[in-house]
Amino acid sequence: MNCQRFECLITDIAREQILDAGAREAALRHSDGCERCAERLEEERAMTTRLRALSENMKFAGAPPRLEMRLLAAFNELKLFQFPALPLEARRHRRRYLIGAIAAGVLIVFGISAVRWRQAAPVIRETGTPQVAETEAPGGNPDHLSTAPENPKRSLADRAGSRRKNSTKQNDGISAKANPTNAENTEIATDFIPVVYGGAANLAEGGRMVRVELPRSAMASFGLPVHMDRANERVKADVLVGVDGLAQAIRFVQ
Amino acid sequence: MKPVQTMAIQPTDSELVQTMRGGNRESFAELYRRRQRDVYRFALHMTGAADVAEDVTQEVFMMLMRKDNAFDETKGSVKAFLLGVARNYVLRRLRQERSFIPIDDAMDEAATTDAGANDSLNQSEAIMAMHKAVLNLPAHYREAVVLCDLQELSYAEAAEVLGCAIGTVRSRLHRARTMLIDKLRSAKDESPANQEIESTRCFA
Repeated sequence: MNCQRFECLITDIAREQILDAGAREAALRHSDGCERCAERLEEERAMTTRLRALSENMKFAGAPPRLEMRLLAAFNELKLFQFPALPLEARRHRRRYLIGAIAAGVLIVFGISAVRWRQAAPVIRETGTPQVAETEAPGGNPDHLSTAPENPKRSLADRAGSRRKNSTKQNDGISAKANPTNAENTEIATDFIPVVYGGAANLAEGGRMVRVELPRSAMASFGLPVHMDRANERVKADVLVGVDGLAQAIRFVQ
Repeated sequence: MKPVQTMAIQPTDSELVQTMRGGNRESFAELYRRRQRDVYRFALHMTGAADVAEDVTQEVFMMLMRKDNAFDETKGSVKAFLLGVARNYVLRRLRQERSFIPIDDAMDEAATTDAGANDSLNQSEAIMAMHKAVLNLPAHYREAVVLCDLQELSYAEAAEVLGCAIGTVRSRLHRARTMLIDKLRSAKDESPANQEIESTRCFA
């Protein structure tokens, strides 16, 4: 045992901490032979005595009784907030209210969903569905076969816009299917434009609709706007063909 | 028929915390009565001011009564948890005040509550000098002395409170005691009695 090792153990020896018996014996033997370490051990022991006296002196120090009263009052207040103890009847009522509120909530959600579903439902004709049935109706001179669109330019622009916005809004001149959940099947079409010059389409004897593809420049022939850069692209069109085999009306589909 | 005698088993601190969290007022009261001295004395030894110690004790138990307090019995004892919380409050107060808090009259009152403890004035003075010396230690050395020597916690318990390794507690305690010895030695050298002796020697 040297002085450095003794210094490491001196606090535990002075405080009478549990030490390895061998180490303790060695340390005490060292202090017997080393005056400086003996003096250090004496100082440490005196320090332990003083600290114990201080500890003993303060042993009965405690918080004043008023603090306990304050804390218990605070606990009661907090208890009311944190642990609300309702009587049994109140708890039953509360459960009923809770069930009623949940049921009302479910009904409201269903109601809103139904309304939104109805608003979003396709009211519009689907392109590709046989329109012949309509045109073949006796005395059929469908209203939508107007002589010319009121404002084809506006109509197309509006439709394109409404498609981009994925809106379900419908305009009078627009026959578009705008179902957001089925966007890839959505087509925007112009109204039927009569091909026969000077008169309305005569479909009284029936007819059929044929899907064709035309160069986009053909739209200009019917007064529709065409972007010159896209003039060579092809555009779909539905042609109403009368029983005589002549085209009666056309609409462009996008 | 003989009445059956049953021994009342004292619930542990952890059990009291559990029932207290369920809203049991008596559990809280029992826990307070068991542990308030530890918390109060720790704060008093650390700050030297009875009003601060009272504030700290109140804050600690207010925190404990909240349902979402952070006590986890798998991480340590309730006592260590409370002392750890008290330590945080004390250090915050010491940082706020940034000055040494002198021992006040309330401290004297606390010291004299045990009538049998102080027989002589000298002993009382020695105790007060010791307490002043402890209060003059830097906070992290002071808390080691307070926990290990004044509150008689084991190294492991003190390490739990301080959130450090046992070796750190030992080395801080050793260093703190050495500093205390130096302080008391220098105070003794500067005492009027010693100065008188020195002056006598001068005249001789």
